[in-house]
Amino acid sequence: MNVDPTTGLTLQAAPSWAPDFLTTPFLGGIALADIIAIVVILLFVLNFVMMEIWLERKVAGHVQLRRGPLHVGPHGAMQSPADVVKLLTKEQLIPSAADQVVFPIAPYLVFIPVFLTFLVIPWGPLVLFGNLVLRPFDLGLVYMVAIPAVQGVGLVMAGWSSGNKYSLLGSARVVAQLISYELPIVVALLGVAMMAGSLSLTTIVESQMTRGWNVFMQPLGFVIFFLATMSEMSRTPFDIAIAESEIVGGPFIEYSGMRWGMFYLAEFAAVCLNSALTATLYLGGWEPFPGSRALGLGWLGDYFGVLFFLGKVLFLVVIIQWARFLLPRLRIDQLMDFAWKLLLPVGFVNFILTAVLQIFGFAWFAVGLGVTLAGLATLLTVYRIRRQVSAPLAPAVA
Amino acid sequence: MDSYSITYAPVILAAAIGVGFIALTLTLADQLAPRVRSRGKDSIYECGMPTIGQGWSQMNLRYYLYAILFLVFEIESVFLFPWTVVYKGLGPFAFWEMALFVSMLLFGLAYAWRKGVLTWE
Repeated sequence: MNVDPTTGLTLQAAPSWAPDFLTTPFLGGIALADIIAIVVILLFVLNFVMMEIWLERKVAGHVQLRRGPLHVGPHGAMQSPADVVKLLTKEQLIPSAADQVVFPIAPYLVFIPVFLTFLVIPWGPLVLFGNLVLRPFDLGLVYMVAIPAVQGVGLVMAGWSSGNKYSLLGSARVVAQLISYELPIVVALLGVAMMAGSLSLTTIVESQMTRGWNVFMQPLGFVIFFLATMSEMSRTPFDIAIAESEIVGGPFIEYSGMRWGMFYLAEFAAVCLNSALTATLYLGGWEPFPGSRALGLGWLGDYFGVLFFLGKVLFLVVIIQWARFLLPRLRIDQLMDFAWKLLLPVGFVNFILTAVLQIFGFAWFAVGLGVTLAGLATLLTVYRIRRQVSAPLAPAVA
Repeated sequence: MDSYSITYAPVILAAAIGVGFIALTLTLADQLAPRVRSRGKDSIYECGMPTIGQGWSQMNLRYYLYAILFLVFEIESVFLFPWTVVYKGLGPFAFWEMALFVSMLLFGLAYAWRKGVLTWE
């Protein structure tokens, strides 16, 4: 373990066999190993995003009975690098109606929050490198809600500074959507935090190894979190803010070339990020499969945990991509109703039932679940009766 | 320097590295890309026709009401996160206190719902 001599705090970025000059903290507790780790994370994000874009085009192709990119490299695998070169050589326009200061700053504020959130993810153990995590962030859960929220500011800046009515509309929608879906996420996370009794992502993964994966312990929370994060990324069933076919691209209509590329990078990095967070919080992080410890296969996770973690991330990424090509876009009122009238109340029910389970035990939890279901049934019945009474008789269809 | 700052110091470093990466890429693109200005290119894109009026136009008031509701719930979450870490030592009393707090919030949501704040017109 590498310990900072002044504070006695563990620095986890480097393995225990790393030479001293790598782990000696300088400049306010930052060691050389930290810098290397951050650059590695950045490179991972960039490469994963390139792979993800290729994969997405392949998935799109096969969903629509096409074959997707095919010509650049084997199975079109070099398509994304080729696109990057194309973007680099494309002119970057700033419209004369746009705000000349805010317009170029916006891409920074859109990508950096997503990148910063990658820092808290516990990637899991890899043979000689120990447990790959930058630092034991003890407020990981709050951090992963707070930092990505800054992205909303960047998107408003982009939409407002473009001097375009569609962009402005798009950015208003982005913010409405971001803040509406932030709440179900937070409420779902409260359940996760209660199960682990901690806000640290590493502790949450470790507690899932003994208590069972959260996807089984918190099924409602899992569904809420997954749907709400999908909406936060504004991907197709929820992409009302971008909506090419009505507001032609939302906040980034006016962006072109590499500046536009930064928005694209942020969007795809967010897909990777949210898959990684879902895998960490609900799918047991780096544990290969539920109950691997009990079967004596714990070493699989202890040595190659990263591979299992990345496998889960890829699995979730593909599911998110399927949803994009299989489902139609929602209207904005449906989108808002879904967050406020369904996900948020259900999230609170999940939270309170988790609290009952944790404090009063399983018997009272069963009672609570029964009461909730009975209450839901009553509400639904009352609602249907009232609608039948108030609605006029439907005209006969000829 | 206290332990809290040490733990979160890499975040600032990462932000700097992120800014550096974007600045480098954009500068590179600026150097590589051609630059040909013309009046048509500098105008904003709306429908292909010359645009009418300014880009900064009026906005639906709905969005503002959602923002207020959001603030209430987000502040509540700031109180509930610490609760989730310490509730085990506090026993049933902590549960009833939290239940009261959450039910007041949910009453607020129900009130807004009833008042039609959540209905999009």
